[in-house]
Amino acid sequence: MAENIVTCQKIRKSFPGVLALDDVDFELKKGEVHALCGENGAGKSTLIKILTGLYGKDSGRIIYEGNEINFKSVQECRNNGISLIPQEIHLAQDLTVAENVMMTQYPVKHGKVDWNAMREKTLELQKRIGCENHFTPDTRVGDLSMGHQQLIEIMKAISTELKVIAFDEPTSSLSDDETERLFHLIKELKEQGISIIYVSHRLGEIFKVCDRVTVFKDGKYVDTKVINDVSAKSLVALMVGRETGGYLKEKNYTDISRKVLEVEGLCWDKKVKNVSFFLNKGEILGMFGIVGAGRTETARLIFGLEKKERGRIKINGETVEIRNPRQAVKRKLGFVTEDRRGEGLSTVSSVQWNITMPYLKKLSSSLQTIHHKQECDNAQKLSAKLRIKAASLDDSAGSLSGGNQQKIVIAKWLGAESEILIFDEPTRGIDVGAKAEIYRLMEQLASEGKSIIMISSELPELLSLSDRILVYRDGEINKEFTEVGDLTEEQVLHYAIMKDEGGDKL
Amino acid sequence: MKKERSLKINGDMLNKYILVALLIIELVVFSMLSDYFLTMKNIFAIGLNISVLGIVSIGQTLCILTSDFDLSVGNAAAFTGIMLGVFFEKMGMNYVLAFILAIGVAALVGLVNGLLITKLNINAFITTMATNFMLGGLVLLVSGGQAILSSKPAFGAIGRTTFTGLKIPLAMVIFIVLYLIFSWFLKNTVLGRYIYCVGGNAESAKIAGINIHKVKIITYVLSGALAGFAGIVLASRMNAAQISVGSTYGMESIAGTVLGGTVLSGGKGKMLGTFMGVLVTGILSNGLTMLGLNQAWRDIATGLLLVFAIIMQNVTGKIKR
Repeated sequence: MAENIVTCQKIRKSFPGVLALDDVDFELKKGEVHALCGENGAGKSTLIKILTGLYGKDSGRIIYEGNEINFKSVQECRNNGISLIPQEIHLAQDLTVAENVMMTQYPVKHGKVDWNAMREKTLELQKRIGCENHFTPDTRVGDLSMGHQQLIEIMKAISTELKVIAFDEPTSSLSDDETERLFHLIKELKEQGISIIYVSHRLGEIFKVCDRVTVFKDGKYVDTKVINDVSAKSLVALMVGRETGGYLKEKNYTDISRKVLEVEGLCWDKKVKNVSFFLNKGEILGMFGIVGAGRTETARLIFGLEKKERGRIKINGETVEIRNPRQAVKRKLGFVTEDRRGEGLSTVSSVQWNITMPYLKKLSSSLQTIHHKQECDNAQKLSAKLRIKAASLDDSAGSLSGGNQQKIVIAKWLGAESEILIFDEPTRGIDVGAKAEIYRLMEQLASEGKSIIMISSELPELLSLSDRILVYRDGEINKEFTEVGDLTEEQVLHYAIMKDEGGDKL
Repeated sequence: MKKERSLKINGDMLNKYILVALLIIELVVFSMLSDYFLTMKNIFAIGLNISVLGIVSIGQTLCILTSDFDLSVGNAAAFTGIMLGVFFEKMGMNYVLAFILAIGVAALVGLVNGLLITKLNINAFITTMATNFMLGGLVLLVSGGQAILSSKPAFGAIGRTTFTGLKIPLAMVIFIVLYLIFSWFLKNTVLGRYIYCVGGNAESAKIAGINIHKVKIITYVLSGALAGFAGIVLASRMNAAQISVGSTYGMESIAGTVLGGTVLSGGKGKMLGTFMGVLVTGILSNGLTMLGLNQAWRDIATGLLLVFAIIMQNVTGKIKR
């Protein structure tokens, strides 16, 4: 069909200690949506950052509209029509929408900023992407949701004549609604003849919005395919170089005679409304819902991180008051939080220190001095059990990959001998290979009699691992599925979006 | 993976060696420029000189490891000295009792800092700056604006005792012993580890069941008590509790700590580093004084040293990444 707008030839880029891109090629056709996928560290983000001027390349050629280019900065790229929408949006939170959008090109009249022109131009851009009803040019950016902030980045990109736009994991912090809106917008941009590079982990999205897909692996180019010619399974195989297949739990280890956790009438600040459920020993209880539906909030209440307004929590049949995480840890609860870097780990501390953090006192004398040998042996044993890949347990946790960081978080709760484990989005930001390992680990824990609550937004993993699924909607448990075997993703999703009127079938 | 590891070691080693290298350079340069520099007498003079700031810096290091500051150490030191003077000289208490009460006052200052920072969730910078102001005022109020002199032998014991023969100053010995104790404390006790954990990521420490408020409060109490003790050492050396000492200790102790490789964002650093940091600045100051340079030049040199060291740390940090 169309000719190439961008051709990358033998792009090489190394960072101290790693070769991020090893002579990769990449072609982007005019007006297509081209997915770039691969596991963490495959080099996809590095390539788009080179293309959009954030990084320089070590060698190789970039041909843009027939000419070789060598842009040195993000600004230069943007002025020439190439823009990046980064994964993490960094806007000036205290400035208005208009000030952010026009950041580098304030209209000036008589040596002063022409505020009216600025507002008009911004409103015009808002209309172009159809968000003029959501906020005004004078809205403070800090008051907007992540999804809307992303729109502002897009407005910045289209404020100059845009030809190529690269999205880096654009949906990672968006709600489902916002994601849908983004897809719609991408289609519109495409219709306007703009070429789009779409970097994502989420295969479902790639199939939904992209025309072609290029796979990178370990910094090398693997293949480019037309999206209609590949299946999700074969794409995953290209990414990991092996067939992982959908993970399927072997057995149900639930012991229905023992309820380890019972929650009755839990209420908190309109975010959690009268939530009641129980968890059996050896069970994996799935929790689904759209972001903000109250799942994480429920977990935080149980763990004593928030103060509940009403409700009762029983552990092993006994009513307990858990006012802070300390008491939760004592009651043998463990919480694998959603935000690993923010809450799960101390990235500057060593792997070992992170693992033993919740139960260091058990590895110490009565005078509170640490038995170093015991600590080291203990951490080593757990790290071997979970196959944490670190050159040394003294390495800082932050230097490991996402999958290995998650294993550290899990290791610490195993070390603390937690009986009830709450996993909040356990595979977020983890590459495909490591995901399967986490799944296997969770199943193993269930087989050992640990009880697990698994909060996840990824339906395939929830369906393949859960023994029961609770679907949250708007702070309430809207539906409980006691049989998961024949459930489809659509059925579960239905109850996350629609109120359960009882009786109505799909 | 292998490659990354070797680079990491290089980064860390470089960091340590920068301080050692600076120390060696100082020793070589100053000993070439002055015959007096490497005499026992001067070495002990340096030791005695840095002992006060050194002791303050121990507490500061603990605070910075939890990712906070303690800017109140300067006036906490001065106030404790004054309180000792009041208890011992003006009220005529027994020295040991006066000493214990004065340290108690210093610990109380730390407790107030810790409670304000944790329970009322006020920023540590603001809190300790505020208590520093208040303590400065209290110093003037309690002392009536005049130093409290004392010529009794007990008052000067800590600061002026030397061990016969080599004339090793007691204060220097205490200073070194305190470093050894706190170095051991950080490495081997649960509380020491918790200090690192809280600084590394308070949220993850909290979820791991660590009482982060308690850890921070204890840290501030220790910092206050250590600053107070330093104030007593200083008063004792001068045979007088001065009113205007220590105003610079807050910043100087932060400088020594950071120079020693403790990161301001917390969770990473060693007591030995702070010891080295204080030593390097102390020797620089001593050497320049001997060369006849005044306070102005010493301050400029210290500032340059700090900037240089931080640049080097950033460079090594980049190598690590």
